[in-house]
Amino acid sequence: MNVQRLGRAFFADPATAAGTIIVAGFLTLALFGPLVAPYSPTAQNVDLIRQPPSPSHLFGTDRLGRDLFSRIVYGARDMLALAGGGTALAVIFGTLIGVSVAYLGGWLEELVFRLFDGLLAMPALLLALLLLGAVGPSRVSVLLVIVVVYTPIVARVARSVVLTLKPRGFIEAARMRDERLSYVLWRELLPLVAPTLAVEAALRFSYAIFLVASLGFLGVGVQPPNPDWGLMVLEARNEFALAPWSLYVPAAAIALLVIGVNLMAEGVRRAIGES
Amino acid sequence: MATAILEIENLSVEYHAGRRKLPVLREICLSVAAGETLGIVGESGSGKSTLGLAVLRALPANGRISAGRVLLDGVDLAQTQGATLRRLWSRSLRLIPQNPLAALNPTLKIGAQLVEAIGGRRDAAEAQAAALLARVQIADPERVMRSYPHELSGGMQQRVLIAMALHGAPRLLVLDEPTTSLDVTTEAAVIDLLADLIAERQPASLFISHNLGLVARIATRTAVLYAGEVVEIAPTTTLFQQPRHPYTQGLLRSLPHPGLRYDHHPLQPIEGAIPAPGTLPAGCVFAPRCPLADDRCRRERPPLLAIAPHHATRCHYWHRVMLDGALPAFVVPTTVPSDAPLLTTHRLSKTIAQRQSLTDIARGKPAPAVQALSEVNLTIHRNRILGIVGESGSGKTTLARCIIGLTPPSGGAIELLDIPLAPLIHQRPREHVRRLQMVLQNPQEALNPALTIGEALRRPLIRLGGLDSKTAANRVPDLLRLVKLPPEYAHRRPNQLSGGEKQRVAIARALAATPDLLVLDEAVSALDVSVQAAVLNVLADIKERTGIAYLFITHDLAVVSYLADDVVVMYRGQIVEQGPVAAVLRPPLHPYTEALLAATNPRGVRLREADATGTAPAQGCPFQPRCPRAIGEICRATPPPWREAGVGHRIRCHIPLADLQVAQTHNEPISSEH
Repeated sequence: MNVQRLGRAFFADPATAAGTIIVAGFLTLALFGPLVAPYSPTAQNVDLIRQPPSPSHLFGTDRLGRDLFSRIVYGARDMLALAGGGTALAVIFGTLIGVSVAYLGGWLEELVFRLFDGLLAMPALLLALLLLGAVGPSRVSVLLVIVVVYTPIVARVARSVVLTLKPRGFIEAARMRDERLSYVLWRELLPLVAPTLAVEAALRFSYAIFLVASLGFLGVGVQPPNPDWGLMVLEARNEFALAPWSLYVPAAAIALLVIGVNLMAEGVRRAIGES
Repeated sequence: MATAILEIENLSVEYHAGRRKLPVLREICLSVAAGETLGIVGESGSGKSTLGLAVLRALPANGRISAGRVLLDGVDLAQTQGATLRRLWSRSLRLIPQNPLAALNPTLKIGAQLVEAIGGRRDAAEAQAAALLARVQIADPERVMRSYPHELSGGMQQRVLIAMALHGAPRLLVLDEPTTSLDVTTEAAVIDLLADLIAERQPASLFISHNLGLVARIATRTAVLYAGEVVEIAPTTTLFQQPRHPYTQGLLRSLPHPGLRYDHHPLQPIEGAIPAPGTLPAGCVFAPRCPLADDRCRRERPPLLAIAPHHATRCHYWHRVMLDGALPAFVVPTTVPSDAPLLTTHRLSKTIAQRQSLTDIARGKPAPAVQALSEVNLTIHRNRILGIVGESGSGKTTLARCIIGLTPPSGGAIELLDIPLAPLIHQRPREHVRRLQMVLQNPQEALNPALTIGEALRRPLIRLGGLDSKTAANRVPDLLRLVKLPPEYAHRRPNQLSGGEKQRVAIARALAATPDLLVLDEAVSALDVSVQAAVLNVLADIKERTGIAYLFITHDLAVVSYLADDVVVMYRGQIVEQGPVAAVLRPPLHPYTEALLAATNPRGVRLREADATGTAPAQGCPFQPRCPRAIGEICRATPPPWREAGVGHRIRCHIPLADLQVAQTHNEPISSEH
């Protein structure tokens, strides 16, 4: 499928287009954060604590007088960098492992995928908590957690596609000329696995957003005073009665981004499935 | 002709693809009498299956009858809806589909499925089901009723579906390639049964097939479908002897005939491809591929002209269509190769261990094994074509994979120019890999959809030919020309090619590094006859020019007698007969070879179906349980000896050669006629 058709797939129908626009909006916020945000995300103003939304503070302020709009904007950076970077690494590792191990087969395949099955038997959040308990909370460890949790899932998806391709005539033909392993894996198999992986990547991305937010909310992810959306929900929870907007705003941001990514991914999946 | 009970009048069907409407059938007019079988032939894409589904009102959701009537006993099926249609479906309309396993519910026993189809009171239905199974010549109806579909062989599954289709009093029977997935020997028995049952139950039948020889055996009249139109309809014998449409003529010329060889009577394929729905030409649909076409044909659509009683054709110039008179049967000289062998196998064996249950492992039972190849000795010479024939399960493909090195043999040796070959391909030196190449059966899977044709053809040149990628790229146009494809195809991707074109690219890819031996594993079986003829011609041409040897694996004896110099007949992993093609096939000596040839003859001997369990007797002749000529205890107890039947002609049978020869001269001559 060529670039133009892929481009059209992002705007194939109203729902997909809405998803694409939402994701693109958040991306813009993240990229141009300092130009968009009127205040510093950590600047406190004791005179203006718990202000409801107003023209000067679009989304109001929190209990320390920090501007919620600015915190959402800066939080988008962290969120997209962690969830996006983690997903990208998980997709890369998962593809490398899934495609090569599935093609080689034999006891290696058994070993690797039984191990992955073991990892996947644990709920993602529990696994993440265990890992973070071991390495301590920081941005890097959140990234690491996403990679560890999602690599096996991506590898399994890659494997399932490779298993359907392996008995095909063109792979047999490659074996009949005693083809180099790297050629079979990356020139013959990868282009055929890629469309499925693209869809899987988008799906993983939306789960990763949720995971980052959950870890923040549980207090084991990104640490204060960083403007993490999950952390913002956690902090606002105790004063819901005094300043409900400080909870609504970050929760809405998480929901909107996850919905946007899902709508986009679903549209792209349909477009690839049809071609 | 008796009065027609099925009358199709001006039937047109279209499919919706997105917002587009694609006409797939145009103005079909046919009539079929009770008990009559009308053959419907055409290449893939001609609309023949759609016709079957349309008359049964079983079109997929995106298809609809856009015009015309389908009258069955005077009732227009095209207008029937709801409860009336459902009653017709359950009582009068029946379909026998191509893939029997897909048509049966895998979770229900055969008995339950038959009872449901028959309906009514349960015990009565059960008795009727058993009687039906007995009627379709199933030996043990009680056991089959208790079986699940996957426990039956393909032929048995198809018999069950035939039983299901013929209960009660069917009025319309559509047979959509009912024997395409079966072995020739089973096919022969199923066709006999169908002809018998149609005569008995008297439904109007449509027999849809791509196989002209098969249609000739069962259909009294035949309609030729091309691009959604009936281009010719005639009594079957007339159609075959005096076709009056260039397309029918082309189809007949594409078929290998017994006794005719590639070097004296090359096949004449139809150039070009069937137009896709929605891209029909303005005038005659066949004009772009027609040798007789002129401006009038491209401008003006010919009507279906009645040119004789019961004979109509859609051609402006039907009187110019002539089939060359009776083709002279060319006697194939029995030649014996003189030079040193290229490749030999010595007592090549392969046992395939089967999965074992945990309890059997615990009891220390040895794993059950299937003997896929048993002591196979064969020799392939340069510039010769060795055909391998046999039913499915005969070990043909296992043999090919052992030679290529995709499967390690469990015993014996393979020698290439007297040098032993390593068992697996990655253990073999590059030079050995280059010399042995193979083309597989399925053209749809032969090429990687992600690579262009040029990339696919460059790779063996680089990998095996030792060329750098620039030189390799320069050789690609030559390779494409070798298989009669235009050089521009190098930039295309597989999804822009037809099945026949893909298979030609696969052949070019296998030939790229100039192998000495090309193994063709059912390489033309999946192609339409006109396309198959073109590919066979390409193969013959390449062999004449390069002196390459072919190992040609097929179930189609007509193709073997057209192309092969020598032939090996395999049964259950053993060679039962081998020798020069003329000596082996005309007349056949071994009872199994005889049965294979007779399968295409309406009056030939018929084999019992192979046991689905697949175990051959431990001692004795493997063919003995099905052999129509078995002579008693010796066949059961002692493995048959090899006998020399002529120069280079060996046969493995207990029956004395003289007796076998006498049996042939006293029988009707058996030939693979179409």
